[in-house]
Amino acid sequence: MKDKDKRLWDEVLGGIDEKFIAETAERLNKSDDSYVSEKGVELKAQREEKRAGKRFGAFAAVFGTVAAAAVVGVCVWTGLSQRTAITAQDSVSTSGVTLDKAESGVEADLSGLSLYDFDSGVFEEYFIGEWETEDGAVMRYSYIGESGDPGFGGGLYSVGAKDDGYYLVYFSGGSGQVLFIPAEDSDSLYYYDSLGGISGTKPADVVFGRVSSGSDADRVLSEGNYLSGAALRRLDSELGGALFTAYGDIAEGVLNDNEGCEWAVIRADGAGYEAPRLASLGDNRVTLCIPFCLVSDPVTVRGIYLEIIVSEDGSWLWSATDADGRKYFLGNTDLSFGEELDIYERYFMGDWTDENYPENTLMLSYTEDFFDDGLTRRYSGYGNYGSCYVITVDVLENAGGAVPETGGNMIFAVYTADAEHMYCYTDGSIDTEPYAVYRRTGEADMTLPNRGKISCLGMHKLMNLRGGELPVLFLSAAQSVECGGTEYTDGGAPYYILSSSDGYLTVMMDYYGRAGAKQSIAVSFADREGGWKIDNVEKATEMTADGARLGETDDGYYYLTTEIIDGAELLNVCYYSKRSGVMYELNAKGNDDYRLFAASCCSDGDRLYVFGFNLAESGGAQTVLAVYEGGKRLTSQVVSETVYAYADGSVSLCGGYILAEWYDASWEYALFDPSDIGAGAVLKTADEAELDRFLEQ
Amino acid sequence: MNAKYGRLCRQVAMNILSNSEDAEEIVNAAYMNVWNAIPPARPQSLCGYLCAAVRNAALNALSWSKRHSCDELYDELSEVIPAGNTVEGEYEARQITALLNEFLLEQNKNTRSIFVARYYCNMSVRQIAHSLGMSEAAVKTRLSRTRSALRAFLSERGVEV
Repeated sequence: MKDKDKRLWDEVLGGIDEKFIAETAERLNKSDDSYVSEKGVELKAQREEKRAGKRFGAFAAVFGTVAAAAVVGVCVWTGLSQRTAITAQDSVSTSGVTLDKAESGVEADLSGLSLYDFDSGVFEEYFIGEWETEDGAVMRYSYIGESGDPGFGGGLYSVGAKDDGYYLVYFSGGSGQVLFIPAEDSDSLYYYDSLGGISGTKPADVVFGRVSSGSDADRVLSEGNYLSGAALRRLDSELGGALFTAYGDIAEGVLNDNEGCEWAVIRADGAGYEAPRLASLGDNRVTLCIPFCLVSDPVTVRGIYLEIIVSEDGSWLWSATDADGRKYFLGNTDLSFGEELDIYERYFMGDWTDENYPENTLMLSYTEDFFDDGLTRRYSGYGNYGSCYVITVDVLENAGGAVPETGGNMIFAVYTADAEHMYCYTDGSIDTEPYAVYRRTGEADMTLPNRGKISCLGMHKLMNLRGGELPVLFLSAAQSVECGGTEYTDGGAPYYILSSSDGYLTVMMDYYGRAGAKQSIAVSFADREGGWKIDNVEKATEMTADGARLGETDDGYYYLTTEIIDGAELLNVCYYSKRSGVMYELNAKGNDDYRLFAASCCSDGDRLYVFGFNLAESGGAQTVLAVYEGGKRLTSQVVSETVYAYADGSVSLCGGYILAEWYDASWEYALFDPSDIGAGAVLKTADEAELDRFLEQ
Repeated sequence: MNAKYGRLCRQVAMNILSNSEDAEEIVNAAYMNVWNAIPPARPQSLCGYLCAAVRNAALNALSWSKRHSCDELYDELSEVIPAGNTVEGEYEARQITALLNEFLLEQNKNTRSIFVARYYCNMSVRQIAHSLGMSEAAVKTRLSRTRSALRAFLSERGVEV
């Protein structure tokens, strides 16, 4: 970027309203250690206060997390021997912390100790067990959680070993604590509090002596057990960071979305995190039951089952299922894969016409979504309200009169007493005045397409039918894929099935690139040994305009047409060869630089013949027949110097020839020899009888 | 002040300067400036005021050619208004700023914070994810959507892209 552009942006960004900066800074400052929502952060202080009062008020038995240790440290600050000292040389984020146990003559250097690693071996051998101070304060470390355990809450938590001893480092609330067990004295534990931002030296706040080394049960992740914070870190470490990431995704992206999600991460009464429970643990999958509350009922704790599946290559997928069996997935296509599709088929599928504005129609099927291609980005969910069924649709932009100018969430409801009408609500409630009332005007087409365009719910149905790990894999791929070294995110409708067989599926969908431009990408899934995996990802086409259409040639080749602004079609963007399994980009380097606005195409299996309009070097346009092979343009032949109404042109294989036909006041025909297109038309006529005679010869 | 806001301030400074000693110096200088300015210029939010002061001081400490830490951010933003377009002639920075603030006002709090954290505070995706309790993927997606929406927003108002 040029300096002048940097200056521009610097000036622009420097002018961001101070209230936005203040708002952001306040959030960043207070929530640096939290995985939970803003509400969660606000409640954290209450939570910790409660926990402190409950557990440490009388120095009763204290179970172990480092957060608990922090409280212990505060409680027993005075009267401790100052046998050790600690120096923090840098901010907490760099972990450049040095222990200087001056009086004992031992120096311990923490720099380089990761804040993100959890060495379970060190934890189990040295930290697990019960510890007690001279004043009788006790803390215990174990993989077994207890009620009130911070679970996913809390801050960074790392355990590791250095030459001089073993460390447990905890950063929370902008402040760090370090627990240190010297290598030469594994029965003593030195605790240092409030390390964030400190410079200079500081004595150890408290020293614990070992009471016991715990039991075998403390060192095992057993199904049915509640999990301590340490157990979660161990699992997270073993899952390659999947656990906390998935939890964060659930808390932020699906269940605690501040755009209307009904789930809250923690109890609104400030009662604190409940420890999650290990539901099952297999070779390549783990399921936890994590407590959540409904926003509408912030006291009753309900379980969300979080399942993580790890593939052989280390990649992982997750899904979450609530107590009612509704399943949530990562990404913007978080559809419910359940019986709700029966409701969709029974009550919603079919043709609908707006009673007040008949020009507004909806065709709901497994190929058509609620609105035009690409507008329906998310089906937020289904609901059974007793007297009616509803589907909530998140619409990103205006779709003519069918959607309010603002877009947003729309609720469609069909009452069981009157299945011939469908009501659309835009104010988030079915108790409001409907925005539109639709009347059923056509029967539903229940066909699930095997190839070609498929609607969001059609894809949903397909995933249901395929089952296994494919649905999760698909939605994970829809969240983001890497293609050609670039990350594309937010994949969604329109979907096209390019290839489908028992163990293989290629789906093309729209993603967003870094610049925010749409990009069609074909993602292939293969069911190989070990389950479904992503087999291939390749860019399909540059989406230059709003719509896209997939056509099919006679022999099963597919081509994509992209409508451009002036109504003509840009066809030579790509096509998918079922035979080779390759998506060819016809506008790739090496092909003609000029766009081909195609009317039609056909293929003989090896070559693709495209009939359309090419922009000539002179700036004018010509009607041409272009030939492609392996994604490269071999040749093109000018059929006419005139451009005709593109919609009335077509090309086909006919009697061993390539037949191009177009309408110019009357129908005209041109026949080409496929082996020598460059020689020009072997016949050009407006007389259909002459064409027939030629072909009969 | 240091105990309460030090971590964030050092993070902002460090993200720009990529040097802990310089960052510490800048933060201390910013504290001094704030101390001298309060009162009478008491800000609405001390945290936001400090954050802005540290950012400006850190940027001022670097010449344009040395602002490598900002390159990635500017590259991302160049996709909102690509380099070399007509912005300079037709829209002064202050007009775009006004539009940007209008755009941010329309966003929800979370989206706004992520955008400001990334492009104003120079925070990495990872830092934002940790600070706001989100996954990195969610932050990336949100940023991508926001840039896309901003691009459309500016385009609708005549800032050609």
